[in-house]
Amino acid sequence: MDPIHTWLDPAAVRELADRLLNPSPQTANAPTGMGFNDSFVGFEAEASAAEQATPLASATFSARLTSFADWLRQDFATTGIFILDNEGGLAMSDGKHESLHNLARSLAPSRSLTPSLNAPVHLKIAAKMNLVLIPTQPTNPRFLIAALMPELPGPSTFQRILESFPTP
Amino acid sequence: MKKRLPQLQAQATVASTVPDSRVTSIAVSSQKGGVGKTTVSINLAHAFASAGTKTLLIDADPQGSVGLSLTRQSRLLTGFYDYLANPQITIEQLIIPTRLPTFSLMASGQASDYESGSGGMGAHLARVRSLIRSVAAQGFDLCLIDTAAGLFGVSGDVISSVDAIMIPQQSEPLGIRSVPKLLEGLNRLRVMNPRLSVLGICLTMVQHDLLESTEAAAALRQLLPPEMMLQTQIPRDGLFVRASARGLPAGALPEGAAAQQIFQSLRAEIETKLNPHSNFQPRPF
Repeated sequence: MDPIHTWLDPAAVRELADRLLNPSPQTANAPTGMGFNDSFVGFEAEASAAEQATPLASATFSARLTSFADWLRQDFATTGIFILDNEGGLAMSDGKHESLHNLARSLAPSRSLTPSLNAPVHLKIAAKMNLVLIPTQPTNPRFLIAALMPELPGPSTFQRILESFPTP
Repeated sequence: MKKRLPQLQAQATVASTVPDSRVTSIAVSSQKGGVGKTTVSINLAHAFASAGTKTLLIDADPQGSVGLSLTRQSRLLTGFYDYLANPQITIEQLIIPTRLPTFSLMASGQASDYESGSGGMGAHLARVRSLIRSVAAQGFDLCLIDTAAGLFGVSGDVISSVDAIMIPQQSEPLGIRSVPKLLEGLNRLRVMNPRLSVLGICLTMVQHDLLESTEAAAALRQLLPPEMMLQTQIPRDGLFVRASARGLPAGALPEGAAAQQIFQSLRAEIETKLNPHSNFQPRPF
């Protein structure tokens, strides 16, 4: 029996390999805007200009996202929040933590980022600060909530956040 | 004799403020455990050091396999994970010389049960990069890092910090089926380290007397672009177990001439990848 080809998609594997062998487009474009180039020294919170919100976020929906962010700040001591759409675009940002946007984008395809697991993926980024990534329910479009929280949300809080996320 | 690794060195000196203190850093990593990362790391580091390259082998596997293989007191040594956990620790406290003047080690450390799961990725990136800068300042030409299995946690931070990665891959069907996940993971990590150079997959534990092993090796070579596959293959050989039992690289054993030749071939192949203008022809295995 063919030990490999019956178990995987050769064309997809080849494409992944080719992508790795080619120079990263980010290298060619001098990644000064990236959070992880040679000048990167850590996940210190940084205030910088907010990126432009994507057209996906309508005015009404944007207002609801802002209210949602306010609620997260008040009820869960969230110190920063941004929301990515299903294409990695910025649906909402409080204008901080720009260097974390690419990190969240890089983790977005992770299979562990699924609401059915009933727990968020998190990264400890400082002594008492976590970047908590919460994917919304698999509706279209799907969003990724990224919140900086001192404590990790438990299952019930996780569910509350998911249920409180506004519909587009 | 001090030997420089040319290409990555030349690239990096452009950005470096201290051109003479540039080190080439290579992670030896895999998606799957038990593929021979530690054996490859120890013997490849020894091959580079024997050829005159001032080499530091860092054990970044919490199991401390490099240390357990090469130094009897490894569990007592301060090492890589202690450096991550404690900013007061300096690199000078961690470097262990060997009988070969060009070959030094850094143990995994006593903080070997350090949390390195998926939740920790990115948390140690700055510290890992600081470590590599410190290694460069110590005058090493090559820093080879043996990581824990998986592309997340501290291993992810190491891959996000090094110049290049090589991937040992066990030559058997089950291991090779994990290759798509490996490639997906590496593509994700490239977001954090766009300059990461993929030296390729090195087939390990190849058994020429086992059809499944040779078929798996052939199928993987057929599947992937040739540039993704290193031509040197590491055979399954009891010699590596005996060498580990004696705390030596296989090439340092009296009966280790063949193993030494294989890893010198791998070293030359990697040097060629780092410097594509050399005339290296891999020796048939």
